[in-house]
Amino acid sequence: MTLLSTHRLHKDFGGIVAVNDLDLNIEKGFITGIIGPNGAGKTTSFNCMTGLDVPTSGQVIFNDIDITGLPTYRINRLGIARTFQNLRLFKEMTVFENVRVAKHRTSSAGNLQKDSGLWLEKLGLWTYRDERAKDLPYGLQKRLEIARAMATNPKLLFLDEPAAGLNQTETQEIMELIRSFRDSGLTVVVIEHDMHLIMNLCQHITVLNFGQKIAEGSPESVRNDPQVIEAYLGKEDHAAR
Amino acid sequence: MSSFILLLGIYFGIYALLALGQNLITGKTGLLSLCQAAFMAIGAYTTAILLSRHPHLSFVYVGVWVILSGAIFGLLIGIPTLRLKGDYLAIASLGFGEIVKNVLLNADTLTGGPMGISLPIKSFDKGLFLGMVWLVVCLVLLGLIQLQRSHWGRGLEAIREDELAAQSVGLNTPLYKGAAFMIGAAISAMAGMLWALYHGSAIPQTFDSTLSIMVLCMVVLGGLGNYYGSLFGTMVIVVISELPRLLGFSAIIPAAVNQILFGIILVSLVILRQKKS
Ligand SMILES: Nc1ncnc2c1ncn2[C@@H]1O[C@H](COP(=O)(O)OP(=O)(O)OP(=O)(O)O)[C@@H](O)[C@H]1O
Ligand SMILES: [Mg+2]
Repeated sequence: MTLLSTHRLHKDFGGIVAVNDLDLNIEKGFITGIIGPNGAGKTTSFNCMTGLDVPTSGQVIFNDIDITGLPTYRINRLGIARTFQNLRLFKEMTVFENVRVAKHRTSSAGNLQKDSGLWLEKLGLWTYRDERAKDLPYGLQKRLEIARAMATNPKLLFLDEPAAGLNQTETQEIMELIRSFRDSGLTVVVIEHDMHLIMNLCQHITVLNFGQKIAEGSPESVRNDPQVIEAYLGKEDHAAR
Repeated sequence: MSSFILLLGIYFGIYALLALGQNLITGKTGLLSLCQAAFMAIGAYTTAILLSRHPHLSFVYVGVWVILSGAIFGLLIGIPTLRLKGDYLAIASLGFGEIVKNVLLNADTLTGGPMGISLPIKSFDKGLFLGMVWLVVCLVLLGLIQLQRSHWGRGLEAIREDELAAQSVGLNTPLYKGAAFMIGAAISAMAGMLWALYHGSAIPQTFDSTLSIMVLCMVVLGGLGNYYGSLFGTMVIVVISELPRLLGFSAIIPAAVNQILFGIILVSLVILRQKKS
């Protein structure tokens, strides 16, 4: 079953076409990967689906509702949460406050404090609850951003390069976390350059290049797709091999 | 002398209200608005217009209208500027301040033009008035601290930290920013009411943009986002600007010295803070 789909989604920034007539189908309950070279339009397509950018044309349908161009907070309330490629925490606020602000809508006033605490505990951040977000080590900041997004209780989670800058252990832990979300029924879309993560985590992968979808399918089929190899290695490199 | 100290205390309290309102808008929510003088003018003129026509209205009744009109004008400047960021908001709000002042100067039938409006009230006992001013300051401070501890207060802080991220966790940021403007403006309008009552008049020259800059100065000095700090910053600036009069130097030191001083304080504070971060 499709949870979110885009139809001929298009975004240009005065001449630069960032997303070009993109048709996406995000299946409910799966982890979908979006990959592609730098500047391929991955982040921009996320932005168009979460209201940070308004698409130039095309449609975004979530749960049978047309959410094209809705403000970000409305889209979040409908059940889509996200993280950012460059961390966007509430830096001067504590770890606890970061989560509590996000949890407010999905928790009753009496339980807010308790629920936020439980949530931090579940994500292994309880020990750091009183630290300012900006004082956390980078890996934990990444984790906190996921915790904050998940605190809004979404049906669909967009992760923009969740493992960028993480070491192997941290990456492994993030993968476990994403899997556990999936197992509890969440649908996840993840942008990543780390192919190990993508190939191990995703059931379905979409490959973008110059704003267009150039391939999609299972990890195996994408890995062996000549167009994908070409996009990543460049024509000449590929021929030289 | 002691009456001068009382006067200082009254000014301190009235300016403290302006600084608290500014701190909510700028320190807590991160919106660089520069029109506290205009919001204050709204309060002063609402008071003056009401009382000059109906001298027997109770102050509480007038106060309610002052708060309402302050909030409405706060929203008025808030709505078009909600989409503006940083410097643009500063410029737009300065412009709004100029518009308000020009309307006050020129809408003679309503505002009395350059001469302003005199209030048909007896002058207050200074000690009593001082108590009244600080009662209002304390109530406002209590309210603001309560707000700070609520979800709304944390939402405002989240917006200051990162507006897009705040939206992405479901905060209706325009609503929050509009509310911050309304409350901040209403507090300043109360300051205007007290000012008009104390002086028995409202005249346009009082509400110049330099006053707005002075208020910003107080807030930056006391620390953005820190309400008690704002009280401290207000005290320092009030003492500095009234000291010449206190020492009997006011004839020697021209008023422009103050403005230059605020400029210097603001610039050095900004530079200092930038170095720190
Ligand atoms: N706000 C903007 N204004 C102008 N151009 C933009 C803007 N945002 C993105 N672009 C351009 O759109 C194209 C797609 O950018 P996008 O950030 O979506 O790529 P990406 O696939 O996420 O790349 P990366 O892997 O480096 O994060 C790029 O050419 C980029 O320069
Ligand atoms: Mg990107």
